[in-house]
Amino acid sequence: MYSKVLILISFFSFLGSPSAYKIPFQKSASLEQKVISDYAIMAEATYNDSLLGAEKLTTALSNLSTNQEQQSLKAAIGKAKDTWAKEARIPYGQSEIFRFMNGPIDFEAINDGHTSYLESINFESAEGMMNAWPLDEAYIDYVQGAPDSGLINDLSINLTQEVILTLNERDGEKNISTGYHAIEFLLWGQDFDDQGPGIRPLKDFMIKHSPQSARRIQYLNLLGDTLLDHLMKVTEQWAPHETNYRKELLSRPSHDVLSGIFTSLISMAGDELKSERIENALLLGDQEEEQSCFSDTTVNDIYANALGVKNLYYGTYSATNTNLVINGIGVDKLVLMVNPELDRDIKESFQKLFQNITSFYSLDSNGEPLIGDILVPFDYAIVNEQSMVQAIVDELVVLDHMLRQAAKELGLTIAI
Amino acid sequence: MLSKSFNVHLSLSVWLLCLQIISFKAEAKTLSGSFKKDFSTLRENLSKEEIRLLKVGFSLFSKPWVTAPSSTKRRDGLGPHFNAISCISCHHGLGRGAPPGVIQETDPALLFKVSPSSSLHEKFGVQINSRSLPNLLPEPQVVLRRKPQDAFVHDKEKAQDNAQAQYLYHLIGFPKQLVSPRIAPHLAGLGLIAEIPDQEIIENLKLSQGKIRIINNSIGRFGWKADHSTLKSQIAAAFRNDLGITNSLFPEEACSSRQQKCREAQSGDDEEGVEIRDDHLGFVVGLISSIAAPKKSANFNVRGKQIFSQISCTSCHRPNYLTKNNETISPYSDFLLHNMGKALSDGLNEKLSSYWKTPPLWGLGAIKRVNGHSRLLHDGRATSIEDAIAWHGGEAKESKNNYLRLSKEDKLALLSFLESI
Repeated sequence: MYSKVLILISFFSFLGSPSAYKIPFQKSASLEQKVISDYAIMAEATYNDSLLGAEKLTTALSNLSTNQEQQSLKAAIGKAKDTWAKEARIPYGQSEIFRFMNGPIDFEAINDGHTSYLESINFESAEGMMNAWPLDEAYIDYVQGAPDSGLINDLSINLTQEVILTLNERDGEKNISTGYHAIEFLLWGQDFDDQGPGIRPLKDFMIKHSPQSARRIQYLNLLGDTLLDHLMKVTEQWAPHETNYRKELLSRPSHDVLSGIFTSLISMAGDELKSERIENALLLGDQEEEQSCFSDTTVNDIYANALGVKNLYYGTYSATNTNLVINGIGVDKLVLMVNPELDRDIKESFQKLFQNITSFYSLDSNGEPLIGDILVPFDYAIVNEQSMVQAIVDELVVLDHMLRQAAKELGLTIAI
Repeated sequence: MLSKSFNVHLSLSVWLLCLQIISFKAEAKTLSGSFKKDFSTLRENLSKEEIRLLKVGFSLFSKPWVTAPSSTKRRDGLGPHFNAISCISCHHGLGRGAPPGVIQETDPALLFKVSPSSSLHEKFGVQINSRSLPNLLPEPQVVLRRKPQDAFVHDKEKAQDNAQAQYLYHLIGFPKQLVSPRIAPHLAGLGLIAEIPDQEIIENLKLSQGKIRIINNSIGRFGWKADHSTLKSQIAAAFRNDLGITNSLFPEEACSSRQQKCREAQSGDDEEGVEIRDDHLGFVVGLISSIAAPKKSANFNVRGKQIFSQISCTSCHRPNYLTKNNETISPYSDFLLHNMGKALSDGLNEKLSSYWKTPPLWGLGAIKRVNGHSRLLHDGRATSIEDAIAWHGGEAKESKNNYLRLSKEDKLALLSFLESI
């Protein structure tokens, strides 16, 4: 009897210590399956939304050549910029949470003796051609200090989608002259103003002004079409088809998929967003060390990336381009089962994180942040308001730590 | 009664402690990416600040460098002549590159060094840069002369035949003795090699006829011919020679005296007059220094290990060192230069043409997992570990012959052991 008590005491003393071991929770296979199938539903919705945004963007870009009168050209450019920054980028930024687990967006064949579905169809990931950063500006168009540089100024090159993609490859390295940031660069131009974005002169889009202007519009349209093609390829893999990546994912062991989902949450919150996209900018000390440096909309990128993490945790998604709202079962339900306090702390951390991010936006008359209406551009902040930037970093550190703890308590394998 | 319960208590705590150790080990941190993490696992006990800084290093390592001038000033200055646009283009997953045609048709991971005493050097500089910015003429593309053969089999005669007729890579139209192909090695554990005391390497002189190469008053221990004594210098040379990114150690662009257009091209100089600032170069050095040694397999072939030592492989491929920080590491190299015979000679530099630094063998088995190939030696000519052994000549001839005389079972045991280190 005495010994039993002692064992119990010793066991509970472990629970009370900082590195406590929880009693293994009752795994619910059906709940885990639901979380995973909702993950797939959210991925499909996010990519569909990104696709709709990209379609709107290609329409806006195709209107540049047909609106050449000064006022309507100005309006058409304004519309294209707006569509890029909101309808196209906000869903895409949220979709980036679906990187990090070797899904279609950043798929890479792995030599492990097992042939996955994407390997069996020789799927090629296009992430590098959709969202590559930094952009090789002088490879595409003129820049300050090099007035004749780039494909647009080389009249000997006939611009086609195929030409752009082959030139883009440069010996198998795909990352230079296509994607969202190439479109951004051509719409806004280089940014040399620490208070505002790049201001590309209107004549750059006036076909009668120079052959280069016509080529610039042509290049923009080709970029839009290419982006659409790439997004379609990814989206197809997430549709509820008989054979595709999604189908295979749903048949994989829950432990692997949930480990992948937590790896994605941690990779985005603690590495990609925190280090690569925010902290590195502070450490390298340059104003244009930012994702969307031409349009000065990096705050939107940060917001959307963080929202992607939150979506996945809560199992929710609100589409930008339709009325679709998903309220699914997120991984929060799993965390709630093993450690309700931790789930509560994680949710509080999300709240603080979004307070810190939305402090960069203007407020409406009710004091609510206006998402997309940037008051403090990121490039200005990394030079002049570093504490605002640091506050986001600090909260991401907290979140990263707690997500790791949650993964550990769920018995998942996190390598990063 | 009481003592029994204490035993139970004790064993329970030991059990829980083990669990903690296991879970701690399973959580070794790795760099982010879709690649397998054998060559990109971080060393233990790094401080938060070190991790913060090495992540900037990884960004400079993996993001493409762009044409100057650009908005992203910290990232521009590519070329004018170059082989690749980022470090990771050749060191995928911080791993080992393959010659063209193995993983992808054109592959920057194999480049050609130019003989310093030849007229080609005046024309092209220290190495052939097969790519250039659009308005410049690139240097010759790497065109290959390949002799595909069946993979090596466990057969003595065939081994010798094969060794003479393997995949060889040349620049068509260039005399073989003037250009020398080099492949990108994996980068795991280099920080630990930097921490081996000089005295340990000097001791190795007693074990073989190997020679120390002195670079700037220090022992050369990095590069295929021990060309660099520090990691910083190795990395700085790669930045300038392979990417065209100038830095404090190599401040001049890699343009030859005859390449006028290259000399006139815009550079991406920053406030220090170079394209990657010294502190930023330091972040990349910090990254490489922070990568753990490739992980050994827990189940290694004991017989294979014995044979490895019995047939004297260990007299050059020395297994163990104690670093300055009291870590025991097993790189399997003496970091000395050895005459490896005519078949491996590159004719590049009269005195060193048949000399190669013993390459560390750790990570041999992981190359397949991370990089999807098993092309070995300095130019990727060998198609397997066994094939690489068959190429050994000169000072290593005796050990090679010992290998060839082994029974089939012993050969397999040895190869299995080499896959596990």
